Amino acid sequence: MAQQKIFGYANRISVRPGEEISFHVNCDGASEADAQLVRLIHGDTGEAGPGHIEVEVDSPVNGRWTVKKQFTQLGSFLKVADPESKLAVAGDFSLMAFIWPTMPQRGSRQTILGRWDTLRNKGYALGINPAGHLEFWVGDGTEVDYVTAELPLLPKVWYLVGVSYNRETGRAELYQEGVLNRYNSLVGKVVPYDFASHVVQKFRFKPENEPDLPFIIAGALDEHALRGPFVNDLYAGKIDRPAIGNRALSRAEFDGCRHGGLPPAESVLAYWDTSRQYTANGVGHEVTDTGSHGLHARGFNHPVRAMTGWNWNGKDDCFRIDPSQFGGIEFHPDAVTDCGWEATNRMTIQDGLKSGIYAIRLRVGPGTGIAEEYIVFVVRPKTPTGKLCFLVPTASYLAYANEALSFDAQIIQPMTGQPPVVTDLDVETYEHREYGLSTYDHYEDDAGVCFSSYLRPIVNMRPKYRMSSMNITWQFPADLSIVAWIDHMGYDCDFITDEDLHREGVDLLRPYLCVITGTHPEYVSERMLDAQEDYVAGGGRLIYMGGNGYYWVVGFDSEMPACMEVRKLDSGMRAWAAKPGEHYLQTTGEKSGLWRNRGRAPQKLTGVGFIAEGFETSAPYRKMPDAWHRTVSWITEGIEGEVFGEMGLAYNAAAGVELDRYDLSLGTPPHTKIIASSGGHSDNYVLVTEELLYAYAGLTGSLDYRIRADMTYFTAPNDGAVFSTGSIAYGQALPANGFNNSAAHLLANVVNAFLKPGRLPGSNWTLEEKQWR
Amino acid sequence: MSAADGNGWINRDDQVRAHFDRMTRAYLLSILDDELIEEHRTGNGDHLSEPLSRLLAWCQRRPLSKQYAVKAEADGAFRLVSFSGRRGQPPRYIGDERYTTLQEARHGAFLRHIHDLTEK
Repeated sequence: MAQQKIFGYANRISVRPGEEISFHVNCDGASEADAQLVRLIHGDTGEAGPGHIEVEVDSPVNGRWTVKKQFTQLGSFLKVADPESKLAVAGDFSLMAFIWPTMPQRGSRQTILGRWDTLRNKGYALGINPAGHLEFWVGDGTEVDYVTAELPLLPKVWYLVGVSYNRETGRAELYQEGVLNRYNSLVGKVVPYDFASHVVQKFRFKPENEPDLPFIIAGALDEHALRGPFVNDLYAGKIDRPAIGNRALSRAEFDGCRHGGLPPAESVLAYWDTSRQYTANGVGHEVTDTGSHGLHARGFNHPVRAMTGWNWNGKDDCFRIDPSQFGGIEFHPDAVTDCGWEATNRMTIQDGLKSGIYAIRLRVGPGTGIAEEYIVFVVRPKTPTGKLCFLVPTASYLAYANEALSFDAQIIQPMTGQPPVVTDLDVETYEHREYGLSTYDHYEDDAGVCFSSYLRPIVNMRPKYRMSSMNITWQFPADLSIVAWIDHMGYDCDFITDEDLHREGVDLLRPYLCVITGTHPEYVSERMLDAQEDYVAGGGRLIYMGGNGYYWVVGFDSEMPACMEVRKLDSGMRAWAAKPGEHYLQTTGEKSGLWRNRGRAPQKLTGVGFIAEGFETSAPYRKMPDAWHRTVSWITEGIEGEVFGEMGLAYNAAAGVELDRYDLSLGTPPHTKIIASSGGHSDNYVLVTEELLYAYAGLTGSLDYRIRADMTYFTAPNDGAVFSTGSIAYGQALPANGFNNSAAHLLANVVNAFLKPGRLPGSNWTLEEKQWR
Repeated sequence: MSAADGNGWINRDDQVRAHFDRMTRAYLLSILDDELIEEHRTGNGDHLSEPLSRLLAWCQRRPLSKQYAVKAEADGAFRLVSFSGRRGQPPRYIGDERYTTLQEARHGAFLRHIHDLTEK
């Protein structure tokens, strides 16, 4: 019997009563699964806490679901809409494209462009053969003819490649010339390589043009008995301005294109101008054919745009300055942003279902490990009813979705200071990789992953999951510790997501007296940031429960809101670095990277911002002098002694993992109080790179006083306020000792105060000389 | 001698790294003793002595294919695995030991590194 495993995803991450959500499931080794709607309360199975807690909920969808094997189309490519088969060329033709291949010697065939049936050997295509040489081939369904360049293509070098084909004579002439300049390629002009190759071959066979064969850029049609048709022979690298002509172009005509000209207008069957359609707000998925037939192409699995093209001059760093230099579209054979599975089941959220975090729990066979799946979604209220609102940081869940740092990143053990702890689930998902990568991973060709979506199983967005490299809960399952505390305290709380906030703005927050964040709300769009700033300025009370929050500038795909984009660049604790000229989001046109580098350091909203990260150990907080200030002494009321937060599920204390610091120079409101601060962290805690001007020895926990979590508080206009813990580990400290601990007690002081309308405690003290006890 | 990559390129940086590694290992062998191993066995990962910090830095910075990890088994035991260092290739089990606690398993991984260090 095949190994039993089950994975799934939902088409939405946030849904209201009365709205429908669909579930998409892939199962091996079983045809039925037990399904149960559950409300998730706590997700950390560590012994120091209450363990996993879920509540089964009555629902019509509970019971046996029919499940089956579903397949995922991996790889990004462009498919051309050609309903009249204009590209099933009966006579002579030419193909051309500027290319910047990243893995020419990948060892498998890569199709740059063509109309090719891999299974039946029919059609034509220009591509790269498994040995890394440019190749053109045609097939008649029985035989295939090839013409191959003499020299292998070099990785990350721009070329103009093409072929002229005369059907009558069978003459096929390859064209390969380097077009590298001082900026656009990995190497420059000083490298004594020969980039050019021109080879002529006389073909014996002619291409057979099937009427339904699609024209694909960066892939070719294939077919599997069980799976059906799919796109294979995927290309890795950039393609700029691919084209097909209706006659055999001369070498001089190719040379004209190499020097920046267009192919002769009368010869163009299709010319996909990849630099078209840019606006100040980004670019979508359609690539315009400027030829007379209008055979536009559409991207699948998010080919990366807003990338430099073959003619990038190194000066204009954004497509908004001169889109013509940004025609490069980058393709990755292992990209996936939508698994596209058939819906297995659907449900309409029943009226009266309490707002919260829910999941469809699916089990097959043993019902544990890879035989158990939780498809997580948030039920938001039909209309706001709670006083408290938990802002579920779904953008940050996407950023870390399916990260595999333990397996691929040599740097992770030096960072965490400990060997990873992997499970069967980690090994299974790493080995098969069909559910895509996180923005912490690299594609096979070493490019950083800039897109992540929830239209695929996300194995680490589920209860009970521990991040293998750190062996603690992280993001979603860590945030459940805050959810469990809210549940334990009996607060009337509504749940909303980053996606909701991005779409609806501050109006979504206004009904609430207090908004509380997750442990690590690191990825934030401009609309999300604006909404929270306006909420606080308008009298809202924000509790920032984390560390390293409000950090990366992200955008959401307006055509597919499930998909988020980020580009990592310049500075910051980052898993990869976007290439020069590729720092702007294709989804919005904004410069990505750190909010700090856009003039909006997190200190301006929360009082604190990222200063250090470390693993293995956490530390308690120590009260700072402000803790006794009469305006804020209510925050630590009932906390005996100077030290608190001495227990927790993330390395046994409340201040740890990623830490934030008060910093007036970065915009901490000047009247901010430091209630408490941690310190004495181990030397595994290191200063963040964005703080570095000159590096010097000793920027670690035991030597640098800046490495600490600051707990801060400041008041805002209209009775607003912001309280920040400055530590990821704080949320995971709440459930320790049956929720009876100093970190939980202190947070209750703050939430209870924030949930009372009107003046905040301590606000009657206005004369400075009376404010100290 | 460094091997050529898929593009036929030889990364000479590997040669310099190997030289640095030889120097580092010579130093580590000069400070390695039972006391250091005991410090790791009983430690909580907090503030470490300088010799142990340097030894762990060598262990943790080795190439991915020479790093060890702990596999948490479904039955609650822990075993050691080694990464392939090749994308998509799963880790393989190292030895037959089954550890009762994570601390023991991590110390087991540390001892594997010590074995590698002293065998060379």
